[in-house]
Amino acid sequence: MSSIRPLESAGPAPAPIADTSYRNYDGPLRPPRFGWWIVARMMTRLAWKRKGFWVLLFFSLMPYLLPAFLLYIRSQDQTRLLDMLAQRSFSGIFYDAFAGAQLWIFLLALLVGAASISGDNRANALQIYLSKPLTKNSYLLGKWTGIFGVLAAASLLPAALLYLYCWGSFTDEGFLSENPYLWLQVLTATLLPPALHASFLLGVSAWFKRPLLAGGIYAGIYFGSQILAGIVSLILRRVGQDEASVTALHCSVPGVLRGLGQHLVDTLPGFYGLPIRAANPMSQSAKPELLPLVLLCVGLVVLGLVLARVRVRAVEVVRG
Amino acid sequence: MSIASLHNLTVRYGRRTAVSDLSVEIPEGAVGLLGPNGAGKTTLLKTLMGFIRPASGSGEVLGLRLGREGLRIRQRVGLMPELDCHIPGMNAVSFVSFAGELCGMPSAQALRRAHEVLEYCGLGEARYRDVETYSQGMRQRIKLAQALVHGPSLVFLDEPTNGLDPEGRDQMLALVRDVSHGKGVNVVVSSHLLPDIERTCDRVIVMKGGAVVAEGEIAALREVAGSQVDVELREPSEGFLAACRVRGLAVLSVTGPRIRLGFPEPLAVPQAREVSTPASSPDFARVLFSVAREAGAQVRGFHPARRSLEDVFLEALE
Repeated sequence: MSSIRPLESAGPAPAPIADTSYRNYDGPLRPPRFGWWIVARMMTRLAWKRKGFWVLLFFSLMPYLLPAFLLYIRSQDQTRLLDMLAQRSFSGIFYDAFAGAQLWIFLLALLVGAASISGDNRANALQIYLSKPLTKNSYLLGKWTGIFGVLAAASLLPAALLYLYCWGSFTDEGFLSENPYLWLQVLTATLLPPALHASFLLGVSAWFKRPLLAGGIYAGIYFGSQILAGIVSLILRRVGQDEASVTALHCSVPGVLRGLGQHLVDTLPGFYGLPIRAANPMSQSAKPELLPLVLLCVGLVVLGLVLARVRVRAVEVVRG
Repeated sequence: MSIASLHNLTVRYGRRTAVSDLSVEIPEGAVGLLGPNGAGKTTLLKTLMGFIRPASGSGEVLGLRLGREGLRIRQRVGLMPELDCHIPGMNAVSFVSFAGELCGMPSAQALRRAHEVLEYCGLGEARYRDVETYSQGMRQRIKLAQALVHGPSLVFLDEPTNGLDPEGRDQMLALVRDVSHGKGVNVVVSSHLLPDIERTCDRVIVMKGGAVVAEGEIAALREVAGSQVDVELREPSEGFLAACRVRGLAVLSVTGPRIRLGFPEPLAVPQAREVSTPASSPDFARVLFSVAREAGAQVRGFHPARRSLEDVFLEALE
């Protein structure tokens, strides 16, 4: 009677089929000019792999889908129940969607950007990056481009879709004639938040070793500045400084984006395509002053980049 | 031929001088950088990589000037850092191929090469696992893999056996030894562990207080000045020791059956170009065996006396 031998007794393990000995690489090496692009591409890939990215991307689409849906209903509605929507200009509809998407863009920025450098600090990855033919500036440019690219896609894509929908469906109702340069205004406005978040968040992230802490601090600055600006604005409104009150209301991280958005799209805020009534505390009689907002925005961008540049080093140098 | 040369190099951290007026030629092959903690080994490596700008002095790595051709140096050099480091959120293949791409490799080549190098470093089975789930030994291996992926001519290994258990340490040292011998890769191993250097390197540079205090081939440094021979007997024999003294041989040390004998002068073999060591001299063998016969002792073996690397190291630090 024959028996089957167990595999364990079949003798010593065979040698690997593949040649696993070390062989030198003699293939091409590109000049080290485009390291930043490789870093940016890697950041984008890592963002795509996270489920949270797709969830937030979906939510950032919503503020643009809602006015598109309302516009569709209006075009189909024979009873003219939604005539109120017709009072709002197309520029206004785009601005409202832009303003509504800001929270989701901010959350997306936290997801993608909070760990951009703090995660590298935690894992000592800077020694890996900077031991390759990559300068500190290339590293920072790559990180910035990675965050900016992801946020720009999330910000620009729904705006472009809404624009195409309006162009296809409402050209007869004066969509193009009302503002022929709306596309340019929308493009500029939607790229502004990604640029600000990428720069400022990069700077904050560089100073921490824990992504959660970096994200928390950035969220604190984002919401804290908004609360502070709201309080100052309220005080100014109480003393009758209405114009200054409006500008003060926009002197925060989210406020500066909304304020500059109003200037870029040339409109006043509404609520998802519907105008806000004058009695509403959120209503504005005029746009905020442009110069303080530009200065604040440029200041935040420069501050973030300087903070990141000062902090990023291949090695910790303890000066004694 | 040297792979790196430094001339009067001084590196300062604020007021503290970490490396002082250092001039050294790092030869091809496997070179150990030895020194106690704070000797300036890691600072020297970081300077060679261009991480730290020297306060004064100049140098070359692979014929490229330090400070001016930093990017080209880093393209041809690999670094295995001392600290545990990885890029978060990546598996081993992505990490190593990304490291290759950063060095300028085309994507497809980097990916293929990442698989090869991971296999070589013994991570073939775990290459699709997230690096953050790796054990300490695996993390050391992946640091070596990312340093080798672009086929560098020179690799700096900073404490390559940090945190490894004895088996992992053995495997890592075998890898370092293998890659640095006959594979066209020059290696500089920085460590304060003498056995690691002894196992992997052929030459050594000993640093202390930011300066080089000894350098040369390990075998030459271990040779004992003068004529000394280590003899091993089958069993300890007082008669053998006495007979040696009668013949004019100095008994320098006795450890059980192991005896170190000293000669007043090296024995010269007539008409030979080199002065032979006593152990290779037929005269010495005759003397030794006749002494053993007289004392009734049995000689198991004998060879020129050598110091341990630890002795060399301690002497250099004095």
